[in-house]
Amino acid sequence: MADGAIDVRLENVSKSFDRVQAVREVSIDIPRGEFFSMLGPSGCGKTTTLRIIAGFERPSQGEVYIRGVRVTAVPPYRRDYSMVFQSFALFPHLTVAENVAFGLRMRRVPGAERRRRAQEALDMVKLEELAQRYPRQLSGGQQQRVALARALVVQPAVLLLDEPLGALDKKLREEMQVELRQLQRRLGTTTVFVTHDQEEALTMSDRIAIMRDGVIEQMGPPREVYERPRTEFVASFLGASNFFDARVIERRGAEAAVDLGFGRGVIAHVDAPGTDLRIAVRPEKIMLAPLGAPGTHDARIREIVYRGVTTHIYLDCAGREVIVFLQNTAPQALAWRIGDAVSFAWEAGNAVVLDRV
Amino acid sequence: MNRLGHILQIGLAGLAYLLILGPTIVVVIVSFSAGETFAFPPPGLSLRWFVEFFAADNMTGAFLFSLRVGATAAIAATVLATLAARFVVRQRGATSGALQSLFTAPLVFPAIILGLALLLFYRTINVGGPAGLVLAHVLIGMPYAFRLVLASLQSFNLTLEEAAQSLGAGPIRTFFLVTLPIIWPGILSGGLFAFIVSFGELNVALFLTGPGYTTLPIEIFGYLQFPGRQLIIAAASTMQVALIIVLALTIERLVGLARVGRS
Repeated sequence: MADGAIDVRLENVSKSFDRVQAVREVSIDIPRGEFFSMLGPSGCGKTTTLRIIAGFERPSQGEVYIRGVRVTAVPPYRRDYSMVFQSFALFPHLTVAENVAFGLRMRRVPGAERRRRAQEALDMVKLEELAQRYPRQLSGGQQQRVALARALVVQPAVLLLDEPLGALDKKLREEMQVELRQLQRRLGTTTVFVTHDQEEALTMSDRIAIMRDGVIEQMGPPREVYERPRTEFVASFLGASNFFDARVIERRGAEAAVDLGFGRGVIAHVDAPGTDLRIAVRPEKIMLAPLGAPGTHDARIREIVYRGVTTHIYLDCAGREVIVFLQNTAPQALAWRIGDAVSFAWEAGNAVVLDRV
Repeated sequence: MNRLGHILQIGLAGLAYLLILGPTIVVVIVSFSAGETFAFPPPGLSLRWFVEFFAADNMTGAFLFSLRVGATAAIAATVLATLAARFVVRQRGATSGALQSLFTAPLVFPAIILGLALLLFYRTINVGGPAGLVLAHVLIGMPYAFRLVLASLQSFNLTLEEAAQSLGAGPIRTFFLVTLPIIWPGILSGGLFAFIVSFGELNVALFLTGPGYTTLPIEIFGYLQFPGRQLIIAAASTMQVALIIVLALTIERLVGLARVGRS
């Protein structure tokens, strides 16, 4: 596989339905082998963008390329991709084997080879014994695998996944996330994945685009978008965040001393100009400290929610709410009581300066 | 009390069925009469009127002609109805409603007026003979076929067509390999309805038939106007009813089997 080849390219793609603009000037380059996710709330344009790549929607403007071929005006059945639908969309009148072989039949692959490849694809998703069943005789998870085998067997340039795990229950979904990702890595198939589940996107992706109102707000590897969100929307959609207004008192290179309204703090990596900043701090990056330690802020515990792996502590700091996630490894995490007076602080590098919008 | 209500319910249902089916049953029974006149109960039983029916060339000719017209019109109406329904099911809101009314409009139109209108229309454009009649029956059969095909398409998951396309099937292969195998019971029922409507249709046929191309209802209607051999009509009607029952049962069985096989 050639390094650096772009399998999917969207160039300034926009799409309007009647008077609603579903997608606005979206540009994406997806290199070969990448697992690319589009994440956002419903109505953010992620599904429309996927359907534009698939050819089910024609963009109002902009161009779509698959493996360097411009396909903007090419109908879906002449584009080199395959897709797994949220409802699986298995053909109810065909057996599992016939479902999987469908794409090969359309490509006029001869009978013997077709059967062999369909069987291999079913082996790959561990469903070899169910080849002669009908889709209705399978469980949700099995149907999901058939849909995946049916899409992969044609060895597409791009695999499109439209919330394929949405119909499964939580435990099965987590298993399938890992399995799907392993399969994708092994085959090296360029994949575009649409989801509204931030955890799913973080778990599976090489790169995530977070969309809102038809626009990509931020695009990058999971760690980058999670650790350095650029906007309040990204910071709150991808996990939880505490937001503070901060006034710069003094700059020392990339570091700044700030006034938070309830005390002073230090933040690192300040490239934004100006004196009025908006910052985000992840709840798990906030530490509880002994009362009155230097550089900490005083607060009172308002609520404690025990969540098994973590404990969520809601603080009241001069009238504003601050959320803290504690790992339940240390016994202190379980020792706090509602009404306790505490101090909290964070490391300078863990405060993220957001773009003002 | 409850028991009484139950009996009352069964009684009412029975009465309703009697009112609907009674006349037909009487005609069917009378067609086996050994007598000369339309008397119920018949004086004796025989097959003489069926013998007369098959001996009468005009009757058998009309019967076969009706079959041919019905089959041709039903096939044409079903094909058109399927195309129309496929289009309508992809429209939203007002467009869909308007198109549905348009395609079912021939139903609301009084058939006798439709017959006259078509006769005048055919004169102007110089169409006539059996073709005109078949066209007319396509027109009146289509709303029934349209309704039934539309109903089966509405319960059809259109994502399946997208799935087929994503796997490389063009529109034609998508229809024949995915859509048709799933919605065919609706299409078949639609076709059957269109056939039945054509097969029993009198009003429009009155205007559009002629010597050499007479349908069975027209032939029966002709017999009614003359005294003598009246019971041959009863035999003809029984033949008509029998044919439709056999067709309906066959299709019911096919469709039923398809459902059992898939559920």
